[in-house]
Amino acid sequence: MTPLWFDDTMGIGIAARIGVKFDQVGGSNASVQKVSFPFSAGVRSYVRVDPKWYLGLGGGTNKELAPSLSSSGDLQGGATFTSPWGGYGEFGVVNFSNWHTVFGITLRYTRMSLNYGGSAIRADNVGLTFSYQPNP
Amino acid sequence: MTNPNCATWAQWFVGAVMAGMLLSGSACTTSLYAGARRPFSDVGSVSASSTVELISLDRVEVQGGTFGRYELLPGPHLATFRGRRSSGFLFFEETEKSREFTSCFLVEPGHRYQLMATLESNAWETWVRDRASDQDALGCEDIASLARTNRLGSASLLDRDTSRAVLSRTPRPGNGPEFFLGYDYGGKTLVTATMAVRNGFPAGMDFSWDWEAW
Repeated sequence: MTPLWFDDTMGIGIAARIGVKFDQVGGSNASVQKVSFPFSAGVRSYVRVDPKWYLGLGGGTNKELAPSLSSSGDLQGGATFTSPWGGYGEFGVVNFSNWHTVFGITLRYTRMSLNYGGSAIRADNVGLTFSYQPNP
Repeated sequence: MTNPNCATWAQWFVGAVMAGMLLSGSACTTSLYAGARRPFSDVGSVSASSTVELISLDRVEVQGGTFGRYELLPGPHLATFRGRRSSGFLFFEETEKSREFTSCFLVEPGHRYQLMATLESNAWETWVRDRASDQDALGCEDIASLARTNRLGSASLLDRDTSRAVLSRTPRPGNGPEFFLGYDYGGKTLVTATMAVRNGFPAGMDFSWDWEAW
């Protein structure tokens, strides 16, 4: 939601994002999977640099919901982590292909950790995402 | 025997489908003017017929294809579009498209207009139809003639130069849902598997699918 605009050149709003993250490692007889549901909320601004192009800047707080490891094959067992609130900053560009179709590329740095058995495992990461907005 | 839970799930399903239809229906109409949405009696709308692919209105790309409907303030406007004719079915469908046409037309409050195109004897014919009267909308020459004889009836219409017409509203991102697909990398090693080759992934590394609520 970007309700605050200055002369069609700069907009400021808020955004919330929920998703799923997945990774796995394994061999011929076993594998381990990691799944989590990242949630983030923060502010985002757009700066118009061309009739069809905007730069996007944003930042806020994030949390990994229900991060867990599970295994399959000859390896049995799993682990459930906790993840405290972290933060993120992002930068990207969006392009209006036409009024209803907006594509974007965003680079996001996320500061976070996973806690297990009283110890914290740093999980800071950089993510590259491609996005699509069906602009109403 | 009927499972009472089935009715609940069916209701949820029907509700979700109806909500989706409502959302998609509301998304098809776009108001192309600044400020709050006005009652339809104060504006007009334009859409494309099934043989038209709309490209831009007043030189701003809209490309609602053959499905979008756009509300415009009363006055002269420019539409750029292509004619299209399809034959065949599914994988064997062939679509023939025309060159781009630009038509100006006069929008009167409360009227709905439709961009029309037909291919006759290898020549495309295009026009804008006023669906209320089922007659052609006033075109460029009509508008110019009315303007010359001061019979447009509204000074605000005369002030507008269709050759330089610009929408009062520009597209703005960041409103509505946004869908993401991406890849994250970073963090300390969380799992290491020892196999023929050593393999593993760090704590922050993931393949992600995200959906942004606003």
